[in-house]
Amino acid sequence: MNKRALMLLLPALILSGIVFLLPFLWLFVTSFRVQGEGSLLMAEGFSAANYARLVSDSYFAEVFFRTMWMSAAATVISLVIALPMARQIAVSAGRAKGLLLALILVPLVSGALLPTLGMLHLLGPLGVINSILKDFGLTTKSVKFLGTVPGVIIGLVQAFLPLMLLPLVNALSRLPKDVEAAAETLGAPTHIVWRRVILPLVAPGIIAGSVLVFCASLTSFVTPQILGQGKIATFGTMAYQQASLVLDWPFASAVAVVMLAILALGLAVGSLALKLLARRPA
Amino acid sequence: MAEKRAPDHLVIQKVMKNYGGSEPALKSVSLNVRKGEFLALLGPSGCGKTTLLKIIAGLEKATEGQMALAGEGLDAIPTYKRDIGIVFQSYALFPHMTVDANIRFGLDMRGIKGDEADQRIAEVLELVKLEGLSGRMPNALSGGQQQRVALARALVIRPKLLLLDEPLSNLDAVLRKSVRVDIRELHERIGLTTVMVTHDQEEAMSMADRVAVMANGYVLQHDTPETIYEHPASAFVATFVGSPPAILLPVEKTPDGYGIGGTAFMPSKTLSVAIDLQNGKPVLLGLRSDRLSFADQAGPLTITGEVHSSEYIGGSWLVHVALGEHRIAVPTRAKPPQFGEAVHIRIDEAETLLFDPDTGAKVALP
Repeated sequence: MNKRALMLLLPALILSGIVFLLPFLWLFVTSFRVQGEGSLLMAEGFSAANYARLVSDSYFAEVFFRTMWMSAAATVISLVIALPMARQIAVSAGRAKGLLLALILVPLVSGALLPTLGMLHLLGPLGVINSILKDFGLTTKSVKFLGTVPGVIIGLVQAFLPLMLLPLVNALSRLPKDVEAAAETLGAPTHIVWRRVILPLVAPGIIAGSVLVFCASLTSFVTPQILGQGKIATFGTMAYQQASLVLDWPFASAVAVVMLAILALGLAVGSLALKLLARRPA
Repeated sequence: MAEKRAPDHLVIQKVMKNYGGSEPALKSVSLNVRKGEFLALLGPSGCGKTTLLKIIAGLEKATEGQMALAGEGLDAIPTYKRDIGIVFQSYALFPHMTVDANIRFGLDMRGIKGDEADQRIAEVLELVKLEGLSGRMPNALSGGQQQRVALARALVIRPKLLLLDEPLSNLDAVLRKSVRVDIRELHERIGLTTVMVTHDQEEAMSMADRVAVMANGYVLQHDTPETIYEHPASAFVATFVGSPPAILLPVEKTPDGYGIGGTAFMPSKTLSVAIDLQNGKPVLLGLRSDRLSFADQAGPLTITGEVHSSEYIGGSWLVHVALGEHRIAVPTRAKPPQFGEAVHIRIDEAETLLFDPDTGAKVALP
């Protein structure tokens, strides 16, 4: 790298060093400390006690697995919803494409809080969805969404669908011209065209979108906190609880480090899948 | 024609396609392609030829009209059951599959597996001269090779009809000439009924048994290349087909006879009768450069003009002669006349084409 490039990069390097790397390092170090007995101060010395507690306590294992499978479910549901949407936008939106993409981005840039509060009204016992269900006579008692796992998953899908849509729209827009028509003329009905031509070609987009939604769901805090109503503990809510309510910073740090490790693992699996995809034989 | 006529294989009847605009892309097209015939759909871009090709393949739905292939109505058959092979302009190879897998795809769809599949793939690879490349990925092939894979992929399913969409347009000029011959040879060898779309009249004329010239959603003329060249049905066909294409010159009546762009023109007896029959309306005279020559003096069937410039084209000259505001090129093997010299151009009556300037329709000679 030449000097000029380094000079240009310097402000960004300093900023990310101070606001990202240093706190992370501090977090990592803190996770190996423990609190003194009956004190809010940290005791002397380092130990792996926090990690041992995470592994041994069945409550934390339960939170771990719940967070994992809720994230996985949110990812799969997002994929199923986003695929036809993305196809429609990529193929037939024409001039409306720009507008639709901008609309997709709105929930992403408006922050997690406002849309989640909106979901609260939608999913509540006297909310829009329940009143519609009752009007149509589909149910007499309110369906419980808030404070349940399905409710949180609905919220996660709503919050992170754009992260799935954007890579899919991109991949589907870039399908080579006429390959679908070629497959059709060679004798492939629509479902085979999808399975053997479209899906393999948009696989990079599917992987990218899945990694994004999975990681975002895994680390999300606002959605499970508000829609879970304190009844659905996830990594995010647990770390918050430990840091802000229990004031056990070392243990909260350990939770955060585990979360980041899983994140890194998710990214690694995603990029490995992409690499394998790039050099598959047929 | 003297040759024995093969039965009609593909019949297109009054096919119309409207995409929803004010003007339909195709306005009632009727065509027939005989068994084993090579038909070229020729026309400028936007004439509807690609739309017609897509309708034949089933990739587009005709707004009106019927089609039949090998005696069977096509309209209710979905694309994937039509048994029509198509080579796309972009080739549209599956980028995530090897050459072998690309070709095998159509066989898979037909449940042809194992030894028979292997044998048929080897056959088509030999046919398109791509032996030894079956393990390659498409992006590791040259444009010409990719096109041959696309051709092999379309042929391996033994289609009832082969469609070629601008097959030469993505190749460089040198390759284009040789592929033209290759495709024609392949056609002679396997005798598969073929419909090719092209905007290049030279391609159409040199490769096809018959050519359908299209413009504005109509078929203007559907005939052998020779007939289209010698007897174009309209002014458009005359100016679109042939290298060089015909030049149209308006002939007007003057006090002392006839003129073109203010210069003197002496038609033959029959020509003057044909022109006079138009009741004073000007007539378009269609001339092809390669049929013109210089005359020593003015006489019947000569036009007088002024030399404008000349270019040496190797072995002969092309002399550009001004007839008022019109220009016409005349080939000559002799030393060309000087700039500004008055020259007499002789036209061949047998080759003369007359068109109505308003409708472009052919004016019959009496």
